[in-house]
Amino acid sequence: MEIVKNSSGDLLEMQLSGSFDNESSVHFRESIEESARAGWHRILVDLGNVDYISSAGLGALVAARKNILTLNGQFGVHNPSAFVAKVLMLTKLHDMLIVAPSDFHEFETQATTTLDVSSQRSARVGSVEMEIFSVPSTEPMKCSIFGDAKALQNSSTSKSTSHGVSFGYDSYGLGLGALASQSASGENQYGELVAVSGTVSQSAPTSSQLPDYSIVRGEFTPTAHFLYGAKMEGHFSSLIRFNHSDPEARITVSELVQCCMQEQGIRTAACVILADCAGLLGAQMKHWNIADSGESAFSVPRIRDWLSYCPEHFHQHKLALIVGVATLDHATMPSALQSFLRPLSGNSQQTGHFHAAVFPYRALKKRTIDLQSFVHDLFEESEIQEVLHLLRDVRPTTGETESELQSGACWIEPIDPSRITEVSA
Amino acid sequence: MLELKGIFKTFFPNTPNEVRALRGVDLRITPGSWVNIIGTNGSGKSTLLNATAGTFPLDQGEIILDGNRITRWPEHRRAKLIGRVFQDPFSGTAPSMTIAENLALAARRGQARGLGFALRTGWRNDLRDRVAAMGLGLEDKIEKPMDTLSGGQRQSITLLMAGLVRPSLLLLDEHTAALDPKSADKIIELTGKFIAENQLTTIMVTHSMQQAANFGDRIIMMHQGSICHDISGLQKSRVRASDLIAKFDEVRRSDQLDESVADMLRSNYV
Ligand SMILES: Nc1ncnc2c1ncn2[C@@H]1O[C@H](COP(=O)(O)OP(=O)(O)OP(=O)(O)O)[C@@H](O)[C@H]1O
Ligand SMILES: [Mg+2]
Repeated sequence: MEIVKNSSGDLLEMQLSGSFDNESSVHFRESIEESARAGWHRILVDLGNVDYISSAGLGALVAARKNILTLNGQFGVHNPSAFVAKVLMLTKLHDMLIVAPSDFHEFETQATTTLDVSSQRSARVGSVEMEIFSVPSTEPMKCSIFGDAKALQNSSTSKSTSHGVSFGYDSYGLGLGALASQSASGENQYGELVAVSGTVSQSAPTSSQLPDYSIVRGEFTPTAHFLYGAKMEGHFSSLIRFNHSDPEARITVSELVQCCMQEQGIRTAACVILADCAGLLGAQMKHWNIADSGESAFSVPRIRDWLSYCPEHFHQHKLALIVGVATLDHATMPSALQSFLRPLSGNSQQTGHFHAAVFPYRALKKRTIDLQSFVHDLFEESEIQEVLHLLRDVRPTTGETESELQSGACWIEPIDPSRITEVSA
Repeated sequence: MLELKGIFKTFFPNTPNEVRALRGVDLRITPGSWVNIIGTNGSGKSTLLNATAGTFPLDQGEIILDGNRITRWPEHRRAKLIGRVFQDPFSGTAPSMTIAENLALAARRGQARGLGFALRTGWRNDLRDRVAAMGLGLEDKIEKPMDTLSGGQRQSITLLMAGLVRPSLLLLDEHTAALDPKSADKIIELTGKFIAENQLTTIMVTHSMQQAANFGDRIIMMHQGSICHDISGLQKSRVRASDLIAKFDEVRRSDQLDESVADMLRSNYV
């Protein structure tokens, strides 16, 4: 089967010809996914030249319709050949799938927003194109820093004190620690943590195991036991949809955060990003043995026992859920926050720290997204694959690389410097 | 029961060609259990089997088999307790001798009697029965020389030879690797049946993750001369070939963590 795509405005027309069998249905599904990823959420399929369709072909059409509708888009088929029309009638799929192209165009203005957006505008910083949706801000976020990353790295004898931190709906966080306060074996199984809107996930000790997670349910609120970490509390008042002006190019996490902060005029920010990954670069702690820590822990091959890092981009075309903090005022930040933050790029004073949870790819619907319900659906319907501490890999021999994104959504909110508290051991 | 304690072996020590093939291997294998060894090329799998069989002296460590401290026993003495099958179907048998003669030789292992004894009619019938039991139709060929057999047929005879005197330990080193897929499947099935019937304590080296996952009751993964994974019990019964392949990828990823990366992590991580 052949697929020819034509676009007019925001409508993508797919002209199919040939035999729509199981083999072609794979091709069709991929083509739909690719189009959705590229931002086409209104798709009309012309079946005039399809001389045969099997159940596999019908299944692919039904699945495509479902996928596009969940993105608040529109999907339909028209102009079926005699054979296809007969099959659609017999299978009673006719009413569901067939649309009159004229009707299809009429829906055009039916844009949906689930969030009360008080303002919407477009902006561009460098080559990052942004569409900004905002609600009036109530108050900046507050931020608590637990433990001290530097102190932990240098301690060789101190007992591993962890801080139990609960993560309800309006909280976001990242750090190093564990979901379980104490594992059954008595040995703490620490890993990288990511917390978003009442969900906390922890990386697995090896890349062949799945991360664990905990979610708010009823009276239960998940707790992260931080060796060190940050918790941000409050509401995001801005959502920035972003993409690169050149669809072939990628946006690094640092670049995105810098652009969003610049656009919003924020000096210290909390952010959550949902993005189609171009490739992530990050490390995972496998386990942490305080007695064995100190400088020599970073020697080869010792480091391989407790830290996992591979200098390759992974997770292309997966969905990343990223949480982080960034600031332009590093020098005036509390010391525990300072040791938590790393330079975001070689030529800027900006520092930050980001963790990512990785999921199988899901297209993001246009315009606004309700972060909380999206994330809860994600955990319910999808399978978390990895949790990473994102790193900017700077080495004299290889230069600089870091995680790269294709497009997505970034929620951003200022952190009130007077409401940053340090909770140390 | 086989016990390997703190085994070290370096080839060509203190030369530019130095290879630290075994770097402190500890392994305890309970009687009747079947351990599969997987790992990348050169990780030390064959060297571990050779160390156990006594192909070379150890630099350090102790080997105890069924209560015997065999560390200093020469290879031929250990051969009375240990049966071996290698990858090459042409090794381990005498090609110009008949199947019956080869089997008789194997049966005689550890006994000071002549070949004639082993080839008496009673024995002959017994051998024929054993060969027939393999279900390969080789019983009619037992008077034919070994070199008239195919690779798969030879491996099955070698296997039978290795298990003839019910060894304390059976060592299999990629014994299906040189066979076509169909013969390999046949031989691995036969191996499974054979080990179960004779309740042999077995170590099998394999590059087939399918074999490692589907057979045996424990999987050891080796990397750079040591054991990096040990999968047994419930975990072993659940393991799939794809899980094992993922472990290889993990090892590959970890190998990329070199000095320059470690330096970068020292300043960027934590
Ligand atoms: N007799 C020997 N003399 C010198 N070097 C040896 C000897 N036997 C093994 N080596 C070296 O020791 C290392 C481990 O080899 P070994 O044969 O045990 O690997 P292996 O895990 O069995 O690999 P493969 O999967 O390729 O069979 C290799 O670098 C090999 O070259
Ligand atoms: Mg080998």
